[in-house]
Amino acid sequence: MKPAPFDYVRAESVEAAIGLVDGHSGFAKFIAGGQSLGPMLNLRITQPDLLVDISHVDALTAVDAGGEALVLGGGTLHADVEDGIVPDVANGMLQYVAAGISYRAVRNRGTLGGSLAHADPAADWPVTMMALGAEIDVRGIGGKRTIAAVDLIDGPLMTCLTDDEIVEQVRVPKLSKAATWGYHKLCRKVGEFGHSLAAVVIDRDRGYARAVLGCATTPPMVLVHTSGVLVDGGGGDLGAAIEQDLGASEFPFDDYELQVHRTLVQRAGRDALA
Amino acid sequence: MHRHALACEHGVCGACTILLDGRPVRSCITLAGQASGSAVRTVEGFDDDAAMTIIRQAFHEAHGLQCGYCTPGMLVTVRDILKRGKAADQPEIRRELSGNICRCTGYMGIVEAVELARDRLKQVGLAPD
Repeated sequence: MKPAPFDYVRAESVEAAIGLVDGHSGFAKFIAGGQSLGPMLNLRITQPDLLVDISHVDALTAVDAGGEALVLGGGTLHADVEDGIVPDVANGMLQYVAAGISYRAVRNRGTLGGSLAHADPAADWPVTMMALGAEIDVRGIGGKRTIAAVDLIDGPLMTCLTDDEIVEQVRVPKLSKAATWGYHKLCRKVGEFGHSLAAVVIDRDRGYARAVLGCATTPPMVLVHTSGVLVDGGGGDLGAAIEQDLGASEFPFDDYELQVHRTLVQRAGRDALA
Repeated sequence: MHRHALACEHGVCGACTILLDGRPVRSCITLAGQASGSAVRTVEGFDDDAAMTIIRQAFHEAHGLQCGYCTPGMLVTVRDILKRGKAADQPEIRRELSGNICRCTGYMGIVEAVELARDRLKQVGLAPD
């Protein structure tokens, strides 16, 4: 098993990388950690003729916790979040989520920006960043723009990013000290993609609560009614709200999927309310 | 390089795990071009490593290998797990080793070998307590 032939160029800056992709007439892809793209190349699921390596661009690994939000470079490694090298402004949630992504050897290469841009709907970072209300700063040939994490993913492996855009940084709002979260993932085997992922964040000091569901078949969903019940302290009918949200999915779930998703959202909600 | 196992070739089995700048990575999904300028250490590069000598002896004694195909990746991964102090008990060892598949299903012996190596490494101060 080996990839179809391609050219490889290492970019030294974000601008240079964008220029290389924009100036290429064929099919060019950025590669960071390559932990999703690598298998897809080997299986020839995708066959770009140019890879522009952005894993050595220092600016993409910058971290700044000084402002209102934690700013994480798109090249931040999962393992660096897991090990607490990156400050956790979400009361332990970032570290917990990072430690559960795939396996350590993958976490040593895989990046936050790469995970978001790849947009596997069952991946951990898209669901987590949506629940936290993060914003994503991207840069392309047309300049910079900011995308709310909830608006990034259009469908499985599909985002609103254009081919020349790079995830430069992710801005994660800092949670209040009293804020709580819940995170549940159903995997038959440790480290595989979740069959169902539920993330809940409740930050009453900011009047904020959000529940998000991820799974293999649909883009990650913000559960609007569930979030509404949670922001009120869970006094309303959480079960009915979850039912209403899951029933509104554009891609209807079968009975088994419904049961799994319902259970995981309930568990994540319960953890966040406890 | 002879002992660095080429197995699933799409990042699933862990047999090809090597150290890149001291951190375990799956070599089958790491481009050589990306590794240019980095330190690469395969299972063959540990002959002067005291911790690896102890781990190999533990695998030998606890029957931590059958056909041996997964062993290069197991050894590199286990050394990292033990150095990071992530082998407190059997459930943790199994969780940390979940990215390394042994198709002989020799996990009982492998987990036992990790416990044995952990205890010996602690005794000589090569793994955290």
